[in-house]
Amino acid sequence: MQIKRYLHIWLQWLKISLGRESIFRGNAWVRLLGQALWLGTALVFFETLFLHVPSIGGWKRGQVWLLIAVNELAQQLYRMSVGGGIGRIPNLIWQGKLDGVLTKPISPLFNVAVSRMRPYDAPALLLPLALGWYAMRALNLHPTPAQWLWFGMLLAVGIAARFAITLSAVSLAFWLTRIYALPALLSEMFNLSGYPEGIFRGAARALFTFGVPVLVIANFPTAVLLGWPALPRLAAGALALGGWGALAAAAWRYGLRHYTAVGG
Amino acid sequence: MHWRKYALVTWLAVREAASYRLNHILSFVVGAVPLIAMLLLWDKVVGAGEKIAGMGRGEVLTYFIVTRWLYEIAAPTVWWDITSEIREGDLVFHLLRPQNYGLYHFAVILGSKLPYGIIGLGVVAPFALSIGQSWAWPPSALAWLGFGASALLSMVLGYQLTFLLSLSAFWLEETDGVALIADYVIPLAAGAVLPLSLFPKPIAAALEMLPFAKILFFPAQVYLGMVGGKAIAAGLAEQAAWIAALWALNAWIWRMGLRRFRAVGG
Repeated sequence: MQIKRYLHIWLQWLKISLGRESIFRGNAWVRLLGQALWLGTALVFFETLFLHVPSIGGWKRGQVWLLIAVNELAQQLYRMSVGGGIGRIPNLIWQGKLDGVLTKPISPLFNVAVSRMRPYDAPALLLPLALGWYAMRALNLHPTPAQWLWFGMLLAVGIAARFAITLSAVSLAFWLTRIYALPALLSEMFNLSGYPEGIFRGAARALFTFGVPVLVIANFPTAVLLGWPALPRLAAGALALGGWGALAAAAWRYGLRHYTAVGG
Repeated sequence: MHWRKYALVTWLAVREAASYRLNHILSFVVGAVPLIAMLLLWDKVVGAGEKIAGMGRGEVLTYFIVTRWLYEIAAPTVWWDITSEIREGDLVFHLLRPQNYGLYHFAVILGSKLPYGIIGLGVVAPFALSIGQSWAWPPSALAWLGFGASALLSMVLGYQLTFLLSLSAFWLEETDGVALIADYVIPLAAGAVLPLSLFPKPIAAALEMLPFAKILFFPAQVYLGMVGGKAIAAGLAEQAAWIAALWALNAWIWRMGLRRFRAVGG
């Protein structure tokens, strides 16, 4: 019953988002250009490196292409679903507009998170899908249905981990003013998920798996498609997600308790 | 006397920025995480004793730390204050004041970046220490002087580009597209993503002719002692020439923009 209700609310927000986005269709085109530029920059970066070295941390050219594609897919799915909504939280807090969200008889986090979906960005998914297909052809990869299942699970874990870290960070807005640069900086930090895991060893690998779990987002799903072991990666990803999820939930709940509206 | 009002604006911006110290520290700490990964990546790409495009491991790692810091204080961006003042009509209040609008915002940006730059030094210092003896220092007093002068000019050059990008608000409803160029194309062309010397020669030569290369790549080259006395002087002259050219271009665009500007506030 509860799930049905939330599904209904999600559908309503999707309709509202479609309506809003159709007014500002130009913005969607600009974002598409941005994704193309980002993807282009990543390709230029690694292609230039491959002019000088045969592999990066043990990763060959085609494998890095696949990683770039999976990373962009994960980032795009995050931005299309909850990224826009969660990015609003600092402003809602500072402007006292969170009151309007808190008065609704549903989870305020869910309500804010799905309030800025970007359905018109769906065509941007074609770019990473095309690059991924090309990379898999070049690598002669033919993943089994089980591998695709692992891939889906790890992709979901990665996107959820990104959500949890971002929520922990934006919850700081309950106590700090002027952290408006933080979401943008976090976004820059998450671009690191496109770096091959082979460059991280020892403490750095632990840091980027659990501390700042950027490896969980794209490297783990890519590794499964490359035929590398899935279970240890799923276990590590779930652990990172559990830790950050608990921290995010605590920060959000504690912040809400200390929230004092200042808007009028 | 004429400059005192701008100095006061800078001082007020310094005080405002300093009162948000925690924000700056947080921003820089979060910004430092990509630097860790970048250093790890380059550590794998350039092994000990190896060279890439004439740069050893220590020089490459130093390059990225120096350009990261420079990027934070000099990178061109779309300045939200300018675009919103143009769009929302608040520009009219500035036009009534006895001030140069471009200089006013330069004073504001300078004031907000100075504390950020100082805190940033504290944040990048551990990275420099982590490299240890591989850290590359400027090889001569001339390199030190040249780096200081080029860093100052790169801040002014970066601002001229910021002003140029922001003035697009006179013609554009949304400046997102312009911001994308600032966020993706400029870092690549300036040498923030890769040292320009790593690109194939024709591409590197073309990029070095653009003003963006003078914001990060050239000061970093001077710092690392990769360019000598004459090249330093020529590079500084090029920076100054780009500043003058962009200043003239901005003055023209400003005049054109003002003709389109209609204040609608009441």
